[in-house]
Amino acid sequence: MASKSNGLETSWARAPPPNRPFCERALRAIYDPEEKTFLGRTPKRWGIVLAFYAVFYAVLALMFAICMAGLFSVLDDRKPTFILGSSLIGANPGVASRPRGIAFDTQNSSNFDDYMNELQEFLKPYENETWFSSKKKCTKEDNYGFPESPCAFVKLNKIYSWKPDFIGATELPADMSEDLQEYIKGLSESERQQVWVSCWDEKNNSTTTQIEYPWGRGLAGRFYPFLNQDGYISPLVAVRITPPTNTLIAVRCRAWAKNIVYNKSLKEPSGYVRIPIMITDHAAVNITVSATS
Amino acid sequence: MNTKSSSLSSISDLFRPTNPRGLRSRDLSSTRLNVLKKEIQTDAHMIPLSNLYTLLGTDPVHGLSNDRAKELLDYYGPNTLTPTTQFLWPRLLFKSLCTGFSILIWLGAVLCLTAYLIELSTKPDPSTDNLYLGCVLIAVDVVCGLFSFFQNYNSTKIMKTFNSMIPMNARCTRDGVLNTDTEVHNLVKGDIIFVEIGDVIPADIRIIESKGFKVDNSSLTGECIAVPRSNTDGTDNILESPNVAFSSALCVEGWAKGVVLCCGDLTALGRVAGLAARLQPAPSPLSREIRRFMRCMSVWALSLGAFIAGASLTLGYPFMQTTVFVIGIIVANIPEGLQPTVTASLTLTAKRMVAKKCLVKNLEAIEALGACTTICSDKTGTLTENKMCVHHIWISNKTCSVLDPDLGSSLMNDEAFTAFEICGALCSNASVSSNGVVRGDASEKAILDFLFMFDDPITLRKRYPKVAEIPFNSVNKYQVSVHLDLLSSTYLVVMKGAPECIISRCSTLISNNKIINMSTEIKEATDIATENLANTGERILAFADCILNPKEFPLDYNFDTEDVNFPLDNLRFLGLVGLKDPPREEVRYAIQRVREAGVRVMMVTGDHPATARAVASEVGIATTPNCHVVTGTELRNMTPDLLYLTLEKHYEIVFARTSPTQKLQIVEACQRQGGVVAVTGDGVNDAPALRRADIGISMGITGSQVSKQTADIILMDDNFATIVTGIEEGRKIFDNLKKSVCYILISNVPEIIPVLIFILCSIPLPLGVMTILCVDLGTDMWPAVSLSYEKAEQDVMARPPRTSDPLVSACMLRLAYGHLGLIEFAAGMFAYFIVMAEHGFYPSNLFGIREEWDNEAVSDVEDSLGQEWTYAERKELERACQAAYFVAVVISQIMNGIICKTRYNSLFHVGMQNKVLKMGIMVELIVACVVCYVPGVNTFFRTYPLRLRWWFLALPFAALMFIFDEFRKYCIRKQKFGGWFNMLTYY
Repeated sequence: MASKSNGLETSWARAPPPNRPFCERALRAIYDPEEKTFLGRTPKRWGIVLAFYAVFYAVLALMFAICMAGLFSVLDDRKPTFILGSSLIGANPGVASRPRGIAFDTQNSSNFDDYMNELQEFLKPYENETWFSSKKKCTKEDNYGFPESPCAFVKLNKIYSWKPDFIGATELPADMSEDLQEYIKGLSESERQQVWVSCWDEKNNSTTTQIEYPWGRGLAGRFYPFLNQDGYISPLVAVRITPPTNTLIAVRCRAWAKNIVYNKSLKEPSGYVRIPIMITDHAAVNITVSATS
Repeated sequence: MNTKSSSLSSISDLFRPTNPRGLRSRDLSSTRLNVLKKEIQTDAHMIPLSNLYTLLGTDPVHGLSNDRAKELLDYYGPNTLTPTTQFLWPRLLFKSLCTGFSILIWLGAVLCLTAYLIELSTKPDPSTDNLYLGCVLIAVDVVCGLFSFFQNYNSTKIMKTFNSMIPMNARCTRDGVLNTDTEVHNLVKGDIIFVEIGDVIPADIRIIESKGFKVDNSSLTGECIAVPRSNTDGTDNILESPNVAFSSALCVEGWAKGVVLCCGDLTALGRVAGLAARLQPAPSPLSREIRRFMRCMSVWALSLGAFIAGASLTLGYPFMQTTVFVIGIIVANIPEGLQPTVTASLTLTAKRMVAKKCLVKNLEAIEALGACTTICSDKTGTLTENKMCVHHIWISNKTCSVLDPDLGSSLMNDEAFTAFEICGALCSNASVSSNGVVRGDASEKAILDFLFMFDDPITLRKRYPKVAEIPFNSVNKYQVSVHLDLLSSTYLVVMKGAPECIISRCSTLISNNKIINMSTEIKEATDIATENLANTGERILAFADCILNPKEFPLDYNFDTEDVNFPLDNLRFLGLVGLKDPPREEVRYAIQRVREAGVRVMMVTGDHPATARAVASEVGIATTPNCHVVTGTELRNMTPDLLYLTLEKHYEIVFARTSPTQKLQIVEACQRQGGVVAVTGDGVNDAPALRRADIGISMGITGSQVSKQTADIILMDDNFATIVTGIEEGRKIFDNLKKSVCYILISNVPEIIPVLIFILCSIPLPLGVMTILCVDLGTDMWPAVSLSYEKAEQDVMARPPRTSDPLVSACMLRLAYGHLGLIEFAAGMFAYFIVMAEHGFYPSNLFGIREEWDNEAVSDVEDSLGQEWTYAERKELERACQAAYFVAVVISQIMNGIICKTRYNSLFHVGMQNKVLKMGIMVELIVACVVCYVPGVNTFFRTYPLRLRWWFLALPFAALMFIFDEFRKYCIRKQKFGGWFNMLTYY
């Protein structure tokens, strides 16, 4: 009755299958002793179906593999296909810091041990560098300043073949902080080939938050451009921050170069990194509480 | 009497246009239905007329006053049939907004908005993504809902205009003035109206005064027999009462003045119509299919969503993230475009059908017609023209067919025929107007029409002016008139009536120009002729005349019809005519084609069994002489099981003498057998069956208002053959809908799997929710609809109706989800990986990167080449990748549209004839370009202006799809691999 034009007969076009109780129907769906079917198909038919699909998926996988192989044959292992402006990464490197934010409790040392371990891990590749091992502060030896005045390391994102356009001593921008301007003017001409970094507390209460730059205030120009060299490591600026306890502050570190665009917006940040810091000190809380009482 | 009249008034209260008792509309509707199910209880036809006048506050001479009429009109509403509350638009709108997947989309929208609100209350500056998405989802829902709403609403609006297209005026006396052009809908209870020959009675009236008034109740009973109505005593059953004429009946003779008893919905017609309109029709096969599919799909989407939610919560994802996953899964799983596609395809087909003079009121009916297994056809007006014709005449002991071309010459010099002509022209109440239109009783009309072929009855009538007349009545079963022959100045008595009455009154017979005595042999011969004609379903009338002797009946003789003073016996027998309502020309061929297509055709009629059987064999419903005839009486004694068995046992069945409710029973029995039933009919008596059937087909010209209102399809030119086209179109649209659904389902796969691997493999999301909506409702829409323009692949009329062939079969799901969809997914992932790799993120690095990638605080994610990406840069890259994935899906969907053109034939065989599809592909590309390149649009949909070469990444996969599918179809055609492809993937 319900034969399709391709000659296939649907078996029960005329009479519906006999009505059995639900359990029996369910069991029969799994294994039907009359038809010797398992989940509706005999083992032989299952074999054919699986083989059928195996072949199809093999062909599809092969096709995908060929395409991917084709892709990798044209890709360069060391150089991105698109660089700088033609790539979506752009020519404006982002600024990043380690750790990304600091929040711990002074009473509980395991709390900031995590940060120390993170930093140790991060700085491992730097240990063979001479410029790094000469540093005295913000090192493993002084626990990176933890817990009183923790150090954060600020770096620029690596962008293939990006070269900084240094700011000359004569063309320092007006919005640059005066201490940085003085710092730059105090350096010799050869030392001015750096990407400057300046940090400040966003709420601008410099009296309570002290910021030091124990490694200097710039990223040396000799590290640029990044060309995916073997063993390349990014330059760092160590920022040692002594924040007030029991308040959340945010330290903003800006990188200065002519071709680093600064956008102070929080939604579309550019040219700076923001390090939120919160150090909880129960002793200090107790003192203030007792003082007020 | 008091209780009765109070119940009458309470019923009229119930049917007032404004809800009088403050009932909820649903209660009101069910109360009305219960009232309609009961028999009419009234005594308005029994009480003396004067009482009736006081009751109605009217006067037989002056009628109602204009003010009173206006008051009543305002109170009870116009004299029209109210459509049921079903067409109330807010309810329709609500239904359109909340059917099928809409509920899931609402759920998604609510999830989005909740997520946004949570974010709003916890974060200082929340991202507006969720808000946007929620609004877009709501917009999608509303737009889809409005789309289907307007489709449905338009089809009801067509009906309304149809309603108003019939202009009708009535003659009504008000304030003592006779208005000839009172509009029918302004009539109220108590109006005094006049009807005369040719008028349709505008409301149920009780006759006050009449002359020779006869009405044809065929629109109520389906039988075209004129019944006399006059001011006499009523019988208990108002429907048979001879002093009441019902709305919609046609006045075929005489005139009458009557008082309106009830209007609008309360008329006998209005009650049947109201009952029919309040019956719930069975859901159409297509909507059943779609509902089943939607239920499965929703359960699948929800359970997958629940599974993902559970999994991600146990894996430790925060609530917000989980919400995003669930929304993604739900949106990806739902084929949002399905409902608009189905509606649009059906609308387009309906438009095409309108060009073929077939108005499709209910869009799904056109598809149901393709699936229909049984057609129950009414006889009168549907298979036949509802117009009597002379078919045979028996003169001079021989039977001649009217269709015989030599008839005229063979009768030319026959005296018998001349006498027959005179008798036919004179013994008739039918009148001929100046422009040649014959008005009157159906059989008299037929006889006059027949006589016009030979002679002019009007000149004959002028030659023989009428002197006296005894009209037809059911006791005598004959009618007699006496005429004066102006040429010979003699009187002529002519008589017409049932053969048995006439023959018994005859003593002689005119045959071959001789007058012979009625011997027993001749009587037997006439009996045989009568029987033969009756067996072909013809109504037989006999004619006799008698020339009166001028001596006995001088010129000034006073004929008395009350106390008959002229001979009515020993007449001269002239001959017999066989009258018949002829089948429409095209019906026989149409029924043959329908039966070839595996559709069973049954006749369900209110007419006599013999007539029914004769017409059935004539039009090809009964091909063997032992066709089973079931009469209404037999049907009444049948249990439903017996009826079921009878339907199983006999393939060819004719139901005769059936009442409207029995028609309904037959339809329901057929439906219980699992059949999809189409009912064709034109009368009010068919309305309940039309309503209950899966497809109700009504006639546009002969069909009554009610049948048109109830039907799903109206044949505007009454051409039965249009049904064949309808079946063909219906089957084609089902085949093509399968293609559209397959096309839509295939694009679901590359939408679902990205979300899954996003969760399971932690790669950046390859396809965003917005882009999923873009594919489902943007780029996929036009090509999916354009597939309904495909021509039929095989001869759709050569196969039986589908019974166990669902719209979405396991085969289609296997093909969509297991094969073609995966190729599209591969194409999309390839494009995604390429864009990622060209920017430095190699596939091996992507797995597991998501936590860093989606974390706004991380501003230096390192790629495979050592470059470090800030959050904004990463998200831009992600957009580019998603856009590339989107474009890959679009490109492969284009190929998919080309593939889905055929299910069986090779594409090389079918070719690219479908212009709409070609245009659809262009539009798809343009939409994709707009989404990617127009600034603003691309930020909204999270896409990115792609490089040109990224558009070609999907091409190898599209080619693979094409090759695979051609190979698959080749295997299906040639039954390769033991038919495995057929079994697994032939949908």
